[in-house]
Amino acid sequence: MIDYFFRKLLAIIPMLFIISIIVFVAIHFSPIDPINYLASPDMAANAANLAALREHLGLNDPIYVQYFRWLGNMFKGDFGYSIIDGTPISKIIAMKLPATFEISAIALVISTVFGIGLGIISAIRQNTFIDYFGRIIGVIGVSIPQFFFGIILIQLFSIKLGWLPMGGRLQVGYKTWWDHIPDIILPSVALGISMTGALLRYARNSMLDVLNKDYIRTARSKGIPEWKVYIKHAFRNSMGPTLVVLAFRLPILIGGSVMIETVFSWPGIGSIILQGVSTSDYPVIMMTTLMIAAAMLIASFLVDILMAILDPRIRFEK
Amino acid sequence: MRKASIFLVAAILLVSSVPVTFAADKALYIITPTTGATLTTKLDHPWVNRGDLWKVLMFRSLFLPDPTLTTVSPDLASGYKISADGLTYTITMKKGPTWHDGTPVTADDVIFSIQTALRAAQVNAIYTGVFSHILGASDYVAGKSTSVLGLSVKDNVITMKLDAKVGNAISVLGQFAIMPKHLLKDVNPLEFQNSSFWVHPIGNGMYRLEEFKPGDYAVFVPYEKYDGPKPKIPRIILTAMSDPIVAAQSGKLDLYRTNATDEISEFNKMKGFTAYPVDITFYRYFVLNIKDSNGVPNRMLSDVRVRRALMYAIDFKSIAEGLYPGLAKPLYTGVPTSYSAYDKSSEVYTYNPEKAKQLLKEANFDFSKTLKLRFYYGDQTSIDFMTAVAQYLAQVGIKTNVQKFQGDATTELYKVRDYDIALKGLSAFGFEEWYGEYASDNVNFVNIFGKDGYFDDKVNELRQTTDPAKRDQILIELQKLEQKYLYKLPLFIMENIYYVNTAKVKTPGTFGNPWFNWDYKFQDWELK
Repeated sequence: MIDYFFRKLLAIIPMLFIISIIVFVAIHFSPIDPINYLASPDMAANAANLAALREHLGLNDPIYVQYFRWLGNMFKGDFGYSIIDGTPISKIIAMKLPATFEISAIALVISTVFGIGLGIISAIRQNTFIDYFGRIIGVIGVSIPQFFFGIILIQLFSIKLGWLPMGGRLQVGYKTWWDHIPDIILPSVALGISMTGALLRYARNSMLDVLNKDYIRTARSKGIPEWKVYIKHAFRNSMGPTLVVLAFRLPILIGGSVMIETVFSWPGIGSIILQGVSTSDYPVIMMTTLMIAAAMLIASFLVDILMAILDPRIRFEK
Repeated sequence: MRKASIFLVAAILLVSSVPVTFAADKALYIITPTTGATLTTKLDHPWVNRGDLWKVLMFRSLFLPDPTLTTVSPDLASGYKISADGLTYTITMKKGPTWHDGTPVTADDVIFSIQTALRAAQVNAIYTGVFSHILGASDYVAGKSTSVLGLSVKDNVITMKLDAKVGNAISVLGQFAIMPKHLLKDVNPLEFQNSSFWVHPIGNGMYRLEEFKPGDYAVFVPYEKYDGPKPKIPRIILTAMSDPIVAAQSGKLDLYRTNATDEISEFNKMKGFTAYPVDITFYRYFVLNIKDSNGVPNRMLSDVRVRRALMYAIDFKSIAEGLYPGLAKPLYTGVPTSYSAYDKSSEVYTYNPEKAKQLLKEANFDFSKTLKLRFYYGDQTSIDFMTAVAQYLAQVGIKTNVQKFQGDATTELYKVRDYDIALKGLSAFGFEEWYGEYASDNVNFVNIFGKDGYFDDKVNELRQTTDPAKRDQILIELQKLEQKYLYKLPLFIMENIYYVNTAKVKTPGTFGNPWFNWDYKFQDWELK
């Protein structure tokens, strides 16, 4: 089994390499020129110096030369600089990742606790008020776009009630991390609501499926208390599909949500990705894409481990 | 379950009864859009867009223009003289201004700034348009010399010698922000905008940067050793916000300027905000892809009768009233009709589809072909505008394909050139910018207008003339050329509107072009 997991882990490297080539080539087919992006056509600009800058940054070199230069620098630990503002990519990530992590982690906890909890209870109390309530939440969560939740929350809690700030991560005068808790609430709740829906539906359907199994009937007929039937037998066996969905949510801790970060003016990775794509800032795009790809691949690896833990049959398969 | 519900309701009632108030903020709030580079990791530099309030207050120029940009008063310089032949400028620096780190502002900073701007990649061409005429500038840019021959300093006096007269040199120097040599001398000018200096820039203006949180906010406070009048506003807070309406509604925006009709509509409904319209040369026009720099023509538009037909085919007046009510004034030439220099004999393109059809017939226009209409503004009003234009053209039989540019606008307009007509904007500092687009020395527009040179003599005359009466005469002649060739189709001059939270802020009530530097008289602004 250890061989199995090591093989899975090592397979991540060639996959990242292939993804980097695909993304690099795709960026270079983009019609956006990052140097010309620096000069809006509404503002007359010095075209000769812009051309000199393009040459200075090596952007006139053939695509393969640019790629291997980027790759070589990566191996040396140099992640490059943003073409648009010259900031080292490592510094951009260090600045933006904590912001994304804050709201994503809280959203993940909210969606996990409420999604799984409500889904399980909904399945146990099928066709009762709580089941109907849970199902409505599930439909709303998957149907309504994230940004809509964000706008509603801002209108209600920031503008009408004035309870919470309308956007931004830090306000003037904050001294400690705890000061900006009010700023985290709305974006993480907006993100959490939209993530809760899908998780709730998976948890409910999976639990319902398990509750109809023969071994549950057997457990009840043996006189095991109902709560033990739900927790020890049903819950554990129903978690498989739900944990897969949950594990593939983990990359959001890295990539964030472009929609939520835009609505709440949250300075996270999502906003950097949006700016990078809009300007064809390829060092930024490459680094953020590879981070998210690595997070997805690691999440996939974690799913394999979790499934092996939950289902002993998987461990003994060749 | 019932007990839990009661507890939840009680908790909500308890929390909602506690008034949550944020500490009252004695500060003026301004915003920057989250989609731009400003505030993301650094502050924006003032050599491209000069007019943001914080840039105006943080960085000074040699002279300070009035809100109409027609006259200047001393700022870092105490005065200037121009030689009789108009080729030598003598500028005397004030003794007293300092950088925010206490270092004196000197003539060396001015020389350094001009030389850096000549080699910088991201700099507004109004500066290089003047500085490139300094003697020795081309050798300096080419790397053949280490300094610009025509710039010299003796004590606090700068001498600037030009190779040709430049009519708006002093006005442009009133825009050009001076940079600290002692902090930027080792920066590569090509990457001036990327320097780490912009993480905590040191200026020389009325306000200095106190705190900067990338992606969130920047706080500006009065500079204690400022040699001018003391301001009354204790803090200016610049935040990154995606939605100015929401920012204003939640009390986080006190000053904003816009020409977007949807924003104007919302701000007009907001209590406490007062509108201050400003008349500026903010053009919206169609550029026509007529011929490339080798003179190869675009057959669809090469006949001037086709271009005239386009102007008659579209009811610009109705479109302006419908889409830009109160904001857009029709243009027939590059000079607005309200200006003294407007050529009253200009052809006025009143909507006349029959005349348009007649012109197209005379020009043997190929109605089987499709005209490609493109635009780069992403707002709904621009999309509606282009849709309306396409419908008008359809009524005279012209087939069109309307799309937004997929790439960045500069590459699409001048390099890719896969269009026939493109909607463009220009916030012009002066008529030199508008008419300079026709000149064969414009490296961008020669790719779509060719290098005919019809406008060159008059454009150069305009650039060199300072006498107002002579300038008016040159402008009249340029307008005649403009209407004769119709390389550009002028559409509107767009008004901009400042919105001020007058419930909180008291201002002198006079505003100027939001893209440029002018005297806000900020020392008279105060919080109520």
